[in-house]
Amino acid sequence: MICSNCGKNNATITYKQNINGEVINLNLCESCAHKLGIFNSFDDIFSPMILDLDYILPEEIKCKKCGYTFSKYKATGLLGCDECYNTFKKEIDSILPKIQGKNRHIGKKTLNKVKSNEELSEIDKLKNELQNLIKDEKFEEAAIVRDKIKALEKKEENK
Amino acid sequence: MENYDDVVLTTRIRLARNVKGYNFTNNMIDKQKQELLDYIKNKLGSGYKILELNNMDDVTKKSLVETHIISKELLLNNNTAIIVDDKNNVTTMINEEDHFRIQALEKAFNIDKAYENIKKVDEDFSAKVEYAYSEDYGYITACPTCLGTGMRVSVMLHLPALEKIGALEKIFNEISGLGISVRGIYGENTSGEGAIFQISNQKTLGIEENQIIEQVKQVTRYIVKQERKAREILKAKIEIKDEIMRSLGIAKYSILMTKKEAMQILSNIRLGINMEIINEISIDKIDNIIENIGINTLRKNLKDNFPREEENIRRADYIKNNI
Repeated sequence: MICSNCGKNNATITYKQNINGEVINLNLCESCAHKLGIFNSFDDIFSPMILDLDYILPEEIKCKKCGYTFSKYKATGLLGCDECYNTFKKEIDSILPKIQGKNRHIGKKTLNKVKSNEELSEIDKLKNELQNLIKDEKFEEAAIVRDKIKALEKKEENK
Repeated sequence: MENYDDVVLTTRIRLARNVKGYNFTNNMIDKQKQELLDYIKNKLGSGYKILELNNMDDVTKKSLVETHIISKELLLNNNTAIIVDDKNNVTTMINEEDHFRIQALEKAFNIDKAYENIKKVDEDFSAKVEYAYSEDYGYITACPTCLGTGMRVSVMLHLPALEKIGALEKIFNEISGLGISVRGIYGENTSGEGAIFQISNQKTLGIEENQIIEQVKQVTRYIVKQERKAREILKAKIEIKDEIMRSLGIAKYSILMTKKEAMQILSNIRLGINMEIINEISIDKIDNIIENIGINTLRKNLKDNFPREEENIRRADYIKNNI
């Protein structure tokens, strides 16, 4: 039998827990049993054991920026940060039609003037140049400028 | 815009915005909220009047809730502030459910003016602070129910005649099918005290700002029409005239008045003025009284932090002196 925690080693310890009639059966390898604090010594067997189920159940996806989980959203109706919308995109896209009827924005776009560091004004300059070059049908030069814009935009994204 | 002063008390628009890079308010500890607040203060610069609620006394804060300048939810958080823009009638709450809750308030039915004002402030903020925004979801908000435009357009309506003829429920059911929700005067989970109700758009995503505005306008027009029709029906009833005149008597001569009773009395008087049963009082005057009868607003305006036991005496006095 394979350990139900790590899914790698052979399970040598069977652990049964009964809390208010809710029975949990676990087959664990020795190392996982120690890690989970289930079987350290006989003293532990007779002391109350509280098992954190988060360890056992397949671990819930957490937002990599703020650590929020989708069950927290279900409990509060609120998400944790802007990145949560990427982390839980699949779930959010499926609930949005129920609460909003739609799941994509079609309204006003943000002005985003804030990205006013030098590089962005550089991008703006290049974009203007690009427009002019295309107008003048100088496509080779335009391609070079276009690549420059792409490179700068990529740099901006990775910041 | 049409003159709906007989039915519409106020118009408000709210925009929910968040600052890119910060966790939502519900997911920040107080220290982080203060950091965000300091960051915003620093970015917006000195052109704005920013008042931290930590430095405000209790009566002032609660009075701001009573007069609908801030939400009662704002008082549940620490490290909150408001940005006051008197020129545009725009007040922004910081660290409510979203980092920014920008609100434009106008008297009567004035959605276009409110939108014009709030757009100015929103665009100015967005030039100074980078909002959390995505191509897919628009303005990112803590709650998906505000996502997209982040925009809620609300109209505060006085519907005493529809209430008296028992037609409110039917009408509210009808409009909820049109994507409009109805609440009482003090926002979520409140009943319509004094026959005052607030309608607003339910959806904020997958719909454009001007569509939301048009939707709320249309439903407002519809309800106004219905309320006016109901008032016509009531005109013939002597009992209504009696009820209205009795209300005026109570307003002028009573010694004790609870908030609930006051709302009811003032609602009847307002109806009486609009039905031309009462002629000596202006609508503005009544609306102003309705706005100022909360216990904390009374305390603030009287500059007297009187004990709660005196509330009903003070309110009766205030109404008597101002009607």
